[in-house]
Amino acid sequence: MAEVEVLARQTSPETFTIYWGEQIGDIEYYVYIDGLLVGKTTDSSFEVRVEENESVVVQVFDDEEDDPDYAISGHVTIGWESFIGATRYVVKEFIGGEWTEIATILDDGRFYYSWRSRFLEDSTTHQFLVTHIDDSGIEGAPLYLRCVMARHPDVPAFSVTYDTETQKATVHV
Amino acid sequence: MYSDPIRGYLGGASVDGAGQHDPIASVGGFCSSVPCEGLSARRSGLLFGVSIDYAACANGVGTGMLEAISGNVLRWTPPGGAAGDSVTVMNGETADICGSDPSKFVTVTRKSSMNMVGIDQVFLAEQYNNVVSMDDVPTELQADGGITYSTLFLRNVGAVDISGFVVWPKQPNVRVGVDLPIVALSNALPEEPPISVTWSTGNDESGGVVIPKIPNGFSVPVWIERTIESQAQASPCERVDVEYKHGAPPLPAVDTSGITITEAGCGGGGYKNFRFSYYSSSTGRESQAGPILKSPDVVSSGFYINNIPFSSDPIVDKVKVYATPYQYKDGGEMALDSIVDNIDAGGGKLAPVLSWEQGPSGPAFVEYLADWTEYNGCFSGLYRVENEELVGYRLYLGIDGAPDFTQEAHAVFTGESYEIDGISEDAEYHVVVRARNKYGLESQNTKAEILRFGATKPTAPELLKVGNDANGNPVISGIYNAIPDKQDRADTFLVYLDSTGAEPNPETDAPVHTLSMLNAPIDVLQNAVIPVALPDGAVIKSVIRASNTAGDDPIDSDSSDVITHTISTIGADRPRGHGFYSRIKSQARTAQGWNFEQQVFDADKGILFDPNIGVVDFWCGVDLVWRCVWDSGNADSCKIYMPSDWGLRGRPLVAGVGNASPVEVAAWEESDKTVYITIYSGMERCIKLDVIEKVMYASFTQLREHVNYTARTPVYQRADSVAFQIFDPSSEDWVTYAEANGGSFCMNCPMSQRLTQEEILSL
Repeated sequence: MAEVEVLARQTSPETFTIYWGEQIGDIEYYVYIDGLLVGKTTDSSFEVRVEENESVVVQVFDDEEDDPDYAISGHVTIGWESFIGATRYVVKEFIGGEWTEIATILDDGRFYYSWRSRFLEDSTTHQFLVTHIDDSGIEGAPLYLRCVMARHPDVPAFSVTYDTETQKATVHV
Repeated sequence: MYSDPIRGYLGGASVDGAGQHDPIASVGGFCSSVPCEGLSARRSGLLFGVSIDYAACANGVGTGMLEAISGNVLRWTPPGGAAGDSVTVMNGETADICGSDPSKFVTVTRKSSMNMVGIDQVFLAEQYNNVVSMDDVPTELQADGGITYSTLFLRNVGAVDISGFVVWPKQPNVRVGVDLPIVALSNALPEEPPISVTWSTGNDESGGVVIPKIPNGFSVPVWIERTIESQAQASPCERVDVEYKHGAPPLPAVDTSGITITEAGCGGGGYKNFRFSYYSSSTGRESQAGPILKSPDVVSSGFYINNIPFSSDPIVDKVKVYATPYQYKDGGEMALDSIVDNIDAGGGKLAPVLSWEQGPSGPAFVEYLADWTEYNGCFSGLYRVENEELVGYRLYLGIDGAPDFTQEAHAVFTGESYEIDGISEDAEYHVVVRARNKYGLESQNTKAEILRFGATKPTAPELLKVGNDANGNPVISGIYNAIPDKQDRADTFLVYLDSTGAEPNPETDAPVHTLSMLNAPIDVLQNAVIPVALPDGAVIKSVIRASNTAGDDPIDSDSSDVITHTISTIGADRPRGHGFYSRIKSQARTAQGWNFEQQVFDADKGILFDPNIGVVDFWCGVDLVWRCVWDSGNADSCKIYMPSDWGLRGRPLVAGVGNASPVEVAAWEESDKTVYITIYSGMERCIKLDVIEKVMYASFTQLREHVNYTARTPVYQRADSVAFQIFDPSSEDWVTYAEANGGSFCMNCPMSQRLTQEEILSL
């Protein structure tokens, strides 16, 4: 048993349906996204949700013993411990030269909080701030996180021209 | 706890530098660190933040499932068994999660306060606590047909069933137990008789067994059966796959003198005792690990590694980082399993992916990249090697088929273009370009661009019909439908006409007109007016071609079939049409009720047809006119003819000469003196009326009379012609169609004279 060849059809701006032909018997298929098992199904299709401009590695196996290829996520998850007195945490990202508030997470008594970023641009430095705010609205000193996203690059656009005299094709990216 | 299934490792790193589990501890032999009383568990899945400490033997061998029911609740389904009760496990807690049979359980420890999400597949295998080591003895190497062979030297094969027995790394020769007699060892499949071998017991290099000739790169299955003196039965036969990879010169060791590690964060644990080795993915070889880089203390889970030097060997593409993870517990350090990280290497500096600065007060980051995947025991995503020289593209090329991505790329280039030489114009090229960033990561594959180079002609268009407008300009309709996945994308229609009686010759003639395609690869010419006014009666022969003008030299398709048309400019203009339809409408208002099946049509009756494919307004009164909905996408099924021989007036109207098949009437209703009849779609357009004779005769006569009477009608008229109004759903317009040649009426020939739907309704 091995990896299953799949096709994909975009069903909405953010969703794709991947399918792999006609289901035969009760074979269970294992769907991996970016190297992680995201679902098991006996159907012959599976819906995958992606963010705008996000590309993911999709692999389907018909044997749970098969291992997916190594893949790297384009997201960063920031984790932090709770702070006594905080009622919420505000996450900001440095976008276009400004700190932009992008998430607010309420303190619900947990010890640990985390937040998952959007699909980040490749080979680019991204900056985040996490600030805790108490019930008086007073902000604490923010934590600063700077990360360089190193992920699989976006698929390049290319075109091909052909010179009939030299019989050379040129790939332009 | 993650335990490896039994594996064979190539010992003697100092000889070959080949891959091994632990370069320091392995020299001289391997031992397992796995206690034997439970099953080994190998996990795959999304569930993280929880470890499996123990898997009860009662679970049996197979795949179970550990799933998070909610953020703090786990459930266990043993292999082949049923799920047990859900168990709440909070951060830091250890709990037994049982299947429906309480003896089948796993012991887990929650190691994160993050909500648990997902499912892990847990493969459980029997633990024999065996270690198979393989020596690459230089004197045994042979060259035979270009394949390098080595011997398999097995040692330390044993089975221990002592509960709680643990063998730690770095103490390979400390084995508790007895000499383990090997009763049989086979290198064949288990159903074949075992091959007796000579076995020397012992734990040093003098012990073991030699199996000659393992080809380089091959994996050899070895089946091992053991008997322990204290047990009556032999253990199950266990398969061990031992792979031999030979590499000639050893990879150089990593010079760690310049490497520094800087702490980048804090957390509940960290790492120390870093070691580094170079690794070649293509050969599977790994250098001898350098000396342990003593870090002053446990480095937190976020850290930078700087200044790893370039490898002088170009085949090196990774640096393996070994470290011992620690976590603080009860105020002290507790060693966990070793970790290994593979870092793409091109030399240079390991760029920190993440860094942080903690504020004077506030929450502390505890993990910086929780998205990392615990995959095959390796961390990923913490750091990468940054090397601008890696930036570029990889071109994968398949000829008459998809590229083979398991092979090297056709080309690697760093500029904005790359030339492919030696193009065959007979072949189909499948092109995929991957981008590569400075971290050595490549973009994903997409569907290959399928190209055919050279003078590939576009698909020939089809010329559907030719008519003319009132000014004598030819009016043509045609379609270009490119063959899918062919590089013949035409962008222009070429029109050739000849009014001398000869057929146009596109090879020598210039096109009289060109029309750009707007919707290639499928484009339609719909009633395109060709501005070459011709006199009434001129006979023209027309063909069209499709042309690809994108290149320096346009490439034309073959010609369509030739259509001959006679120009006729007789007709009236739109204002006069208004009067014509006005009269028809007024006549319709005078219609009386009648029985469709019995009534003989006469001057004061009217009917209206509505086939599914379109509405046919069939008005019958003093004058008769047709109003149809004509489906231009299904033109062949919508032609409505009248018999040319008036002696056959008793025959119904048929769709095609001689075809008298009746149309089935699906429904009809009478409303406001008008009968609506629905005719099944998908059938030949045949209209059968019991009183067709009257209809035909009276209609035609009356219409002719009407046409003659209203000499200024908008409709096309000649000696044998009348007019029809047809609604074309494609254009959403009513079109006056008419043609009568030899006494027959053809409804699929458009005229230029039109009334809009609004104009019709305003009459």
